[in-house]
Amino acid sequence: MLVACSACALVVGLVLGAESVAYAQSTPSPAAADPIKGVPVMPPRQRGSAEVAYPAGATGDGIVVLIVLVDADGTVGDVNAASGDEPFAGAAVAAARAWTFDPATRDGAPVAARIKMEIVFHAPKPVPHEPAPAPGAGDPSGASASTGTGAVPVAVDEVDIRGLRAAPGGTSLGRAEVRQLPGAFGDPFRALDALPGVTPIVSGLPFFYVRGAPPGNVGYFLDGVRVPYLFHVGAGPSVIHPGMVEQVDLYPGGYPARFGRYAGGIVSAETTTPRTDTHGEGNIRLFDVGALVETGFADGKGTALVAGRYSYTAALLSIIAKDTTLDYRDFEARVTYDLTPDDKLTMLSFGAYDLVGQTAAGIENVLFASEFYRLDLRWDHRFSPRTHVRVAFTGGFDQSHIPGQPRNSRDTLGGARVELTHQASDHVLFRAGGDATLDHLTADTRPYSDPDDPNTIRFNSLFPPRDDVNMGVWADVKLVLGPWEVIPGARFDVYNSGGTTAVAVDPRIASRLHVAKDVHVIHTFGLAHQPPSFLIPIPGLAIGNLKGGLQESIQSSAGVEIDLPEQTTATFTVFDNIFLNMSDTLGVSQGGDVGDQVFKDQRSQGSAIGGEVYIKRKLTKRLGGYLSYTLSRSVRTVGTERFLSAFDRPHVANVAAAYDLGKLWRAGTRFTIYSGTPVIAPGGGGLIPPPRSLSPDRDPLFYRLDLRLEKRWNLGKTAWLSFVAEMLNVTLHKEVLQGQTIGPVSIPSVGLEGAF
Amino acid sequence: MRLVRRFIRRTSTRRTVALVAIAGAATALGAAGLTALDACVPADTRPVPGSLLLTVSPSPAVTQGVTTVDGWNVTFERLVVNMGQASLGGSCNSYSEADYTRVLDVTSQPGQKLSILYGIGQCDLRFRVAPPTVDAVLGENVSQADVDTLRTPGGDAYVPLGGISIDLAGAAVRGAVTKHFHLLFRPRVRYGNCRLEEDAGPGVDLVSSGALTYDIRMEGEAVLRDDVDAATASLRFDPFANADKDGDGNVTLDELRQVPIGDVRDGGAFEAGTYVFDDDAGIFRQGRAIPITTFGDYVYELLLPTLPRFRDTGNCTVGIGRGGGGGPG
Repeated sequence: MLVACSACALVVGLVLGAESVAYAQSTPSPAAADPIKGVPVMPPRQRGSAEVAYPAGATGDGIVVLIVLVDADGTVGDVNAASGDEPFAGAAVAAARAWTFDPATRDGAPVAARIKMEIVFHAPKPVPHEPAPAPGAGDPSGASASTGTGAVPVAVDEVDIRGLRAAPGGTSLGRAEVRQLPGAFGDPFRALDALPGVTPIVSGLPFFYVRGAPPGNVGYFLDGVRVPYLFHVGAGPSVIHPGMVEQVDLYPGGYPARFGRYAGGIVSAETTTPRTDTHGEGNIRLFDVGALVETGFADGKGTALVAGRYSYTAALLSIIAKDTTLDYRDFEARVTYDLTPDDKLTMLSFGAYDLVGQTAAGIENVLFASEFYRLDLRWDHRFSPRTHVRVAFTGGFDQSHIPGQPRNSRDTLGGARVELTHQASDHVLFRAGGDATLDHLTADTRPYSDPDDPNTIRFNSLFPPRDDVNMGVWADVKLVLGPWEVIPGARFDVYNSGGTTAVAVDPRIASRLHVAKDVHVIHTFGLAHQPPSFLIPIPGLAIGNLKGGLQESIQSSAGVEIDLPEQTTATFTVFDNIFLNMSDTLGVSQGGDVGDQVFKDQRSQGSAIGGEVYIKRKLTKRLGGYLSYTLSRSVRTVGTERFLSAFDRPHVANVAAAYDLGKLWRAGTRFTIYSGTPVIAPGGGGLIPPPRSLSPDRDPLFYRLDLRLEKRWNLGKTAWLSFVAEMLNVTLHKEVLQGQTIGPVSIPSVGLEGAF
Repeated sequence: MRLVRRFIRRTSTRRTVALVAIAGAATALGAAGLTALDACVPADTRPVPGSLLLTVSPSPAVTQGVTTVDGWNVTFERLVVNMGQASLGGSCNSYSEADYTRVLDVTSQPGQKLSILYGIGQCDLRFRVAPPTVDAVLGENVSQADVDTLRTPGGDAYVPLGGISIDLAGAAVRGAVTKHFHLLFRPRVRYGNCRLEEDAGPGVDLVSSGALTYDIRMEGEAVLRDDVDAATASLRFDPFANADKDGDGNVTLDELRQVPIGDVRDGGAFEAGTYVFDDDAGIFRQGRAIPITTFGDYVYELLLPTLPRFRDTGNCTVGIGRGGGGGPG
């Protein structure tokens, strides 16, 4: 009888819960203090057997080191072989995807964590032939003798504790997963348009409606620092190096009380946990090059990180379109230092620059240019394992060259914020904070303009030079009452712009109720206010003097989260948003003349109702994918006229899949399809425009296919190199918007990525 | 409060000093960095442009009246036009466009400002005549009621639905007979490539810091011509008078459309047919061929676009849009 080779590897995963930064524990210990929140952290623990079958066709012994991301639900979110040869590496990765863990916890609450594990393969030893046993006697299984042995523990020098999952009503995107999403180019922010509730304006462009809220009503934050815009010009990448971003949370409504002064949605990103080991990553693509390096200093008390991206599109365009200039770049820097085990200082700085220009008759004309810079100084202090405070000061500068005017508009800003967290008990978490911001806004006088031009007069009226001062305080309580988690909160804001003052109170509440095994019911409700906003976010440009008053939105949603088999989750949500006194020039535009209305502050009432379906199996699984579908209706009212929003799209769907082809090959595809926008009859020959309809004709629907292919090579113990070919809209499909054909907006990307 | 007291007790002086020092140094460094970076968005380093002031004036016929070859004394009581959206195109460097229109009562005074443009180089001047939008600027002696009149929805055989681009009214007297005419024109007309001579270069030559003033003359009498070429045309009012079939003394566009072009053809004048491009004519037309079968077609399609004259004697290429558009086509 053949003895089945059951030589197996004994997996040794050493998970050390030490946080290697901030609290300077050089000796791993089972639990350590989280450097950011100052509360105890427990590492993940593997459940069940971790045996990995010796791969067929392999010979000899092999050692594979895996970097495993264990999500808050205990499943493996991502796994990569940091070192190891094939076929051992592929076998280890494939096996690891099916593992489950008791997740890491931060003060009792599950959190995601990245751990390093070593797997030692031992070649099977031949078993001497034995005569077949007599019928009915002996062990019929023919089990072989195990050749497994113990493994040599490998000290793990970092455990990366990720932030808490998004609050109820929010959706999180992790960078590891986003890397596999076709069309996202490894950028967590670019993956936002794949989420339910997000309606694109034009495919490939970085502006979108979120549950009916226009682009100017969506706020962007990085570690609580306001970011004026997310993407570089010309369908470029995000303005923040993706290597710095651990996760991105989208709150399409009912967001936590700490977020204020935006009446649409919130996009909140968290930077990665500082690391003391020297590591880095880089990429070079058709259009740009990027890099990130981080290291520790002062015996692990400090970390320093620098990152940036530089586009050489200008050089490329000089070859194919000599008269056109397209340039973008961004930088990021972070320094942390642990003054004491209870005190941590952080300096975070980042900025971006964009330019589009054209040369005519030997004179370079700047068509559009924009820049912003932020410097955030932060002090985290831990009073006790349950009480933590953060005090931060932010300075910044924004400037844009306004197309069509043309002139430069600027905002020199500063702010301070305080955030207090106190875990009163295992069931009660208090959070409170306050902030104040000052924006000093100026704009050049438009040179060489006709003083009678209504657009110039409107611009001067909408964007006067002035100082805006805003202050706010907020508080919420997270109550865990058995299966029910409820978070009531509120914020109070005072707005002042050019001498005009307004006050707003925003109550919020969110709850998550565990109703059955793997089933949660989620409700959110909130009121949000915002000063009047421009149609899209532009640095240095903000409507002044609270002209027309504050915008207001009432946001509510109800949904069900279900954990399905095969590590799949499904979420079904219905929402109802009401917008009052809304600035939405895009949404109320009247066919073909948006340019005439850009500098008009036209207010409207609005509503958006709909349902969302989100079914996901992590893209980092061997076979992962998701389905995102939004059915919605977005309506506007101006005066007595009620009509569909100009960007109402009843159906928006995204389907994506990624597959591990083995031997470190990975492929993915995404299919996007959405309804066309309403056809709005233009004003008849300068007349009072014809009334808009609630049931107009529509532009044709749009669809596109994105593809991604990656081949990775492991170089040494921790380094890797990947070739990535990716393309947004491989079908080169054009889009029709308000009767005009646009595109095809197709973005190819071929390049190399690597890390060490 | 208890938390605050604990914080104060636990913070040593040395730690506080270290905190403040690190924070201050970082702030200073960051502020210096921000200041140094303030200039990536370039300021305007272009050379100072030249300026072009566009004005609009009535022709002598509009202000003083004119006597036609067939003996009618014609006076113009009203010539209100919405025009503008002037821009500089071609190979020159345009620094700004006047993206608005102005409603002008051409009869009120000469030299009314239309818009100011800035640029450098040899430029192609473009402008439009179209029904006004709600943003139209009011010219001299133009009231909001005048604008509302031009924005009143209406249609004719050539523009099914639109506002009014040109409101032209006047009277003609011959002997004891007086005829009145009030013509409302609704198309959106684009003018470009304006120049004094057909084969001349771009009509505007702007040099740095230079200042030009060019006038667009509105020739109401253009609708009375018997040929599209202003240089060779004669002014006739008999076809208008004869079109007044109901004898009420008011000549309307609909009445003009009832007159076959063959009835007014007079040995070379009012030539019928399909007008695409007329080498001999003073206009340069773009686009599709236009069939002329009635006298109304002739006036509306051929003569109306010739009302504006660049620098009194020049001409522009014409493109016509029809109906439904929000502003000029």
